[in-house]
Amino acid sequence: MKTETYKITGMHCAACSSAVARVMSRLDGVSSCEVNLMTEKMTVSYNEKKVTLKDFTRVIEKAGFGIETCDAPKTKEARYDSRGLIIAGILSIILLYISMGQMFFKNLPVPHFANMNTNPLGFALTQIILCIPVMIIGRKFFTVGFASLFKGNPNMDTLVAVGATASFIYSLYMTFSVTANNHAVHNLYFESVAVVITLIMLGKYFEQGSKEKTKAAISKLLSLAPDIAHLKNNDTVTDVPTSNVKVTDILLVKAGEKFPLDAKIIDGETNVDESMLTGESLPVAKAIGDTVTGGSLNISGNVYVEVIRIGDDTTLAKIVRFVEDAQAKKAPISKTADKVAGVFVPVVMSIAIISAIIWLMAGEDFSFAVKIFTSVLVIACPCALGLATPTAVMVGTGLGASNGILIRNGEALETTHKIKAAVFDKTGTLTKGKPEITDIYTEDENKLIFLAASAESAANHPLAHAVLKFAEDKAINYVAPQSSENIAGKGVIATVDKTQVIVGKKGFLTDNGVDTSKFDKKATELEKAGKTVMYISENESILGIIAVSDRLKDDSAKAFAKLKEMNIKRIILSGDNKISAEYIGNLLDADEVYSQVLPTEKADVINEIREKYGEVLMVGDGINDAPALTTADIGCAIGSGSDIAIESADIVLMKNSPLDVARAITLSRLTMRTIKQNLFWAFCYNVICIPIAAGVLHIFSGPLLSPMIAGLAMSLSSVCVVTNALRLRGKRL
Amino acid sequence: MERKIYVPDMHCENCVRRIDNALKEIKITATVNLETKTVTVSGCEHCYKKAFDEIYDLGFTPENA
Repeated sequence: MKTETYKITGMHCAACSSAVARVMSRLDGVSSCEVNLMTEKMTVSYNEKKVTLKDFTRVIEKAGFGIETCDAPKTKEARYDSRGLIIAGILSIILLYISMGQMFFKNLPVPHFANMNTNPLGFALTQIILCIPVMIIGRKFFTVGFASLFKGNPNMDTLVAVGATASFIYSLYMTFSVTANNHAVHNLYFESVAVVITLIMLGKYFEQGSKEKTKAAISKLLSLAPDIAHLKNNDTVTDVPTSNVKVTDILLVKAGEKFPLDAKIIDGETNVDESMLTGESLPVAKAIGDTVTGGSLNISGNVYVEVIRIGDDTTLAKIVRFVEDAQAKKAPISKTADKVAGVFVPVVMSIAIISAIIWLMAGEDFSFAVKIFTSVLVIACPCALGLATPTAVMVGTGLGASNGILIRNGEALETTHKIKAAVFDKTGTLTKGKPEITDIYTEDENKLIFLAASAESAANHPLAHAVLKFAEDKAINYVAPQSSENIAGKGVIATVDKTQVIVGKKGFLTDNGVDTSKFDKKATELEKAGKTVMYISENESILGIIAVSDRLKDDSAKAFAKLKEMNIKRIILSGDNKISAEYIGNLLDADEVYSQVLPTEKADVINEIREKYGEVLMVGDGINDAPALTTADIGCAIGSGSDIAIESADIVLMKNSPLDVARAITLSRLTMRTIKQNLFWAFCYNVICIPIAAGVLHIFSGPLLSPMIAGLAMSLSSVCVVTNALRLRGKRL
Repeated sequence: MERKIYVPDMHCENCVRRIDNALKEIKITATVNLETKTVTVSGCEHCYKKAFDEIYDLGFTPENA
């Protein structure tokens, strides 16, 4: 039996990975096959006498996918290595010194064989010898540029290649002319060819560095989960690779270690630092029954956990996939820029040819026309245009991810800045989703809580949980009732310490002969404030009332204030009753409140709001809000990582804080502003520089741009665009 | 004659494309419907069987509709 890992290509979704696993499992001789969609890896255990790689290839290719051995060379984008760049740089500087130095400073020491005045032919040949290695180092521009020109799809490399080749051939021709006419030595552009290539290589080098920096966030996320897990087997603990751990396995996670997978604590308690996943800086206390996320840091205590999710299903895997998807997909604005860049190259080539011809017709010599032709081609390199959007989207989504805001794609990032109305689900989104005791009216609070908690201790509904939690917080030791009867929707009758206790709605108590009038006035006031009131009686005499309410999250008010500041309509959409919903609406100063809306009606309400205000963002806490999340222009799932409906939302807020809605909109606005700035400057640069390169200023006796300066300007424009995008990383959301 | 094959594990447009391409390659006229998760094969019993086997080979679990 042999176990091997292969790379599978062409998989898009979970259905693809399971199809691969299925066709493989059907092969006679394959004992197990696991396919990981995210890493595109297949691990297969098989009997090598019965099946071979040939069989795997046959069935996998038949199923529409590709298979590669894991050590197959990766087709990585050719790197512009720094060594080549340094050599090209040194050669260009020497070339520049020899060719230009003598023009500007007459007394500069130059070897006799390369002296322009005393040995013009040696001067030209030295330049050729220095220029050719630079062209060889930068050969990629020529191979790619001409190949794409012949394919009818010229790109930025084409501009550089055509410009440099034109200069080189013309200078070569002038070198031959030197023998007949020494004056031809003034029309050599070898230094321009070398310097242009070097500067553009330098620009590319910086660009690549910046791109890698933007990818750093993802790699950081991937490295979060440890490769080794301590597996508990009966009484022994052994270290195993995390990839071998199965769901329901028990793991030991020591203090100071990271949780390898999503799991549930079954023994021990600790504080967990989830900051890399959620951006939340404070450690979160976790005890038995709480879930922990793979990649988060166990700070204070040793705990045993039961694994609940592995492989692609872990929160970390989903986050990484989410961010990768976002960065791979283009924003609509990016497509516009691509289209512009597509027509840009042919237009620039036409301008270069036409301006060269016009200057020739105007009586200038061939050398002048070549200079113009080359300068226009070199300066107009559209890489700044091409870089404007993707760099900003990459940096923007990366910044979001590090703040716990995951954005699905460029389109979502772009649409979010247009949002006119933000619709919030109430329970769990604006409120904590767990009712808490807010008011107690009685003469003896401890006695009231003791009796209510004891009576409710057997019940399992949110109000009972609120009472029990309150009792535990106050260290009131309630007891199990001798008997208890729970009447759904009304309350509970129990016997506690031989006392009859009734906890429930007013009607339930009066039906059982209890006079509640003493607390009725207070109860009505509390109900008007959106609270649920429970009456408690002891042996048919009223003891007091408890008000329970779902409290607002700490950030809800701040979120609404921030959205108001941003001039976005704030709307609450709730399935809850009118009083509760409107009470919350008033507290938060909402523009509109929709109450008693069924999940199926939520989508219609979203459409109604869209007609009224424009683009709508819906914030919900998961599955029951799914129709509304998909109907809204931007669906925003809010949740603490593991339970979120990642697949259906455009944006996922990991921190469970509504304030992140405002942050996501700010992020989108900042990113769009950066994209627009980038596009504006890239266009402006071209609109200003192309005419100068074409010699417009020269008509009015102004300066003429040499191809070398054009190359410098072009490289600077790309670096500026990337640097502007990187500025986003330092922004506070 | 038209007959339908039910493909419960057809989940997305990519699955549709894979089935569509594979059937076209073996010259079988069929329409793939993601909503109903069915493939309607136009042709004889032999064509139907061939389509069924092809879908199975793609890694799906086809059923007679």
